[in-house]
Amino acid sequence: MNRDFVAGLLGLVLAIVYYAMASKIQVSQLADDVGPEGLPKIYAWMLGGFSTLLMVRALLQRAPAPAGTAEVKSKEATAARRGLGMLAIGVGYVVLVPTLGYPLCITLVIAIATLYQGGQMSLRTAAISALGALGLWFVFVFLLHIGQPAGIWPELIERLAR
Amino acid sequence: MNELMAMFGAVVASPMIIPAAFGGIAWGILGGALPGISPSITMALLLPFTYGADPTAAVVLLASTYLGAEYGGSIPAILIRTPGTNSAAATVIDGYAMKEQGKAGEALGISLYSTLLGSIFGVILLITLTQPLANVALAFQPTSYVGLGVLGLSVIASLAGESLIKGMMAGFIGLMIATVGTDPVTGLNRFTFDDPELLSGIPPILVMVGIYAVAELFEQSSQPGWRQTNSADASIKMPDALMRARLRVAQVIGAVIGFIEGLTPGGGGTIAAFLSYNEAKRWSKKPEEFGNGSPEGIAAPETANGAVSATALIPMLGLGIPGSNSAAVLLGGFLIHGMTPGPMLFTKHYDVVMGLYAGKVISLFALVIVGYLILRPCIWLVNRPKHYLMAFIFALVLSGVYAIHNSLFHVGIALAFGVIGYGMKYFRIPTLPMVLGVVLGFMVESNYRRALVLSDGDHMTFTEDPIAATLLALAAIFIVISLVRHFRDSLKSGKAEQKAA
Repeated sequence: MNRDFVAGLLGLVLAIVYYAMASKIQVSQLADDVGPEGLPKIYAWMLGGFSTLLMVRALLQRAPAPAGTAEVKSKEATAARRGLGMLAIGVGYVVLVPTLGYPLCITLVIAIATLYQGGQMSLRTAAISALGALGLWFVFVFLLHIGQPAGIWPELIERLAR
Repeated sequence: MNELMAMFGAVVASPMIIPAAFGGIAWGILGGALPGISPSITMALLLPFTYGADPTAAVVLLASTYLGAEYGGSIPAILIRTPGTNSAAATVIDGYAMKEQGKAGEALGISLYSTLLGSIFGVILLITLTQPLANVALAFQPTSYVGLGVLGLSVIASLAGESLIKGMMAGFIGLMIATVGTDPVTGLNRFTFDDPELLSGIPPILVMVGIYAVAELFEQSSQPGWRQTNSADASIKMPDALMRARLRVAQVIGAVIGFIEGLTPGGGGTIAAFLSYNEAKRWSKKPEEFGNGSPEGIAAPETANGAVSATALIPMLGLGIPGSNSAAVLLGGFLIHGMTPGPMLFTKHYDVVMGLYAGKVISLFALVIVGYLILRPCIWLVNRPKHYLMAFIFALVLSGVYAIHNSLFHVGIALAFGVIGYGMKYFRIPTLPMVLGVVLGFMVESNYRRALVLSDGDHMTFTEDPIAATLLALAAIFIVISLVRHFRDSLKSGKAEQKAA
């Protein structure tokens, strides 16, 4: 299976799932002639049609794999794994920030992402991470007055103070 | 002449207009340059600070912030491939390509110069044509909005790149994303999975941050360090006479489209930027350079953005109809001070309107001075070690996305679109058509259905409205021309392959 065929297949699956979900949208007494499911169904048909076209074209244009394909695929797999690592850092942030709070969590994000991108574990990295986090806190919380998650710290400090 | 005197008088009467214009530009550039912080959010953050201020200075501050943010959005678009604002998405394409070629300073200079020209054009129109031109926007009906949306979507055919099929797939995926949330006619929930955070749909800025910034960060994590910008590149290069001459056509296109879209409620900077990019490519002598670092690819959308930041105020001031989110926030600034924008504003608060015009003129000077000063630190940023910059940008994106609605759920959505964007790159599916689908989807659907309700389901209503008919005819012409070009290019490449074989 070449790349275009897989893209077409994924598009087709998306179209079918989306169409099925559109079919389950409630019927309303207030609905107009088109209805809330009208255009979504048309979009699903169109995506399904173009996805099928892409698959057919991919099958018709099938060419022998050029030399070095295995090497290229291996590189792409490595790249995808590295991308997933960054995604994991982001997901980790979303999960931990309500508990650890913004200042600590964003410092960790900068430090871990720096190391993951090839930076050295050093005092400099730690200092830059802390300064970066301080800068972001200054802009968002102090300058723009946008509250970021405080974590468990305010409650913990309050308890300790009692 | 009377208006010029009145504007001068307004500055004398309210000298705070000058620092308000400079402050607004600086604040706007800062906010616009932060991914996830749109011009309207940047302006809205200022609203509480304007309560106690002089009314004229307050509205000048907000209007200048709008211009500053429209320009500020292009800075991260060029330097880090992240549009700071929705309307800077089109600037990413050639701006980042120029940066990759070591021409970051030149790209930023073109952006500043083009935004300035667009703004000058827009301010002149704002001052001279407000009331007469506002009548055109008043005539817009739901059918006209459908025509406008379809015209915007017709750009997909041109933006599809090497494969029209993939471009259309991306466009329809974008339209599907736009259907998430509350149905515009019945109020029923669609594709929300019973999650209240999805009731108002998926904000386009999350899609853009995801597929541009997050996906780019994912990709960069496996790429070697980028080429550093050398000291010659690091100095801001305003376009020379030769370059200015080259940019002229693209800037005229951007200014005209920016004017029309700014005047049109619901049009806005994003549609203007994409339409002007498309038209600049069509009229360019070097269309093959678009997508690979064409200066005109920056000039056209940035000129349009500059023009929109002024012309979007025309229907708001003249009719009280805000054409965009930012214009709505500015309208809020008027209301805070007990002034209702509309025809009566010119009779009841003429001095404030003249003060606003004067402030817009002063903000043009402020844009050059503040914009020039802020660019240097931005170029300095590009020369930092890649791993620090990437890590900091990732942290900035996470913080900025959260700041939009104080929602970690939205951070999750942006990360999800990062994965989708990464996948689209892998499958060589263009992302721009998807963005257009997301931006225009709701407007097209809601107005299409409203128009049919009003006409008892008669589709001929779209041809009976002359504005809609004209816009739809233009869309049809764009699509046919693009299809002909695609088939011609396919035939050419097929013949070339046969010859090579």
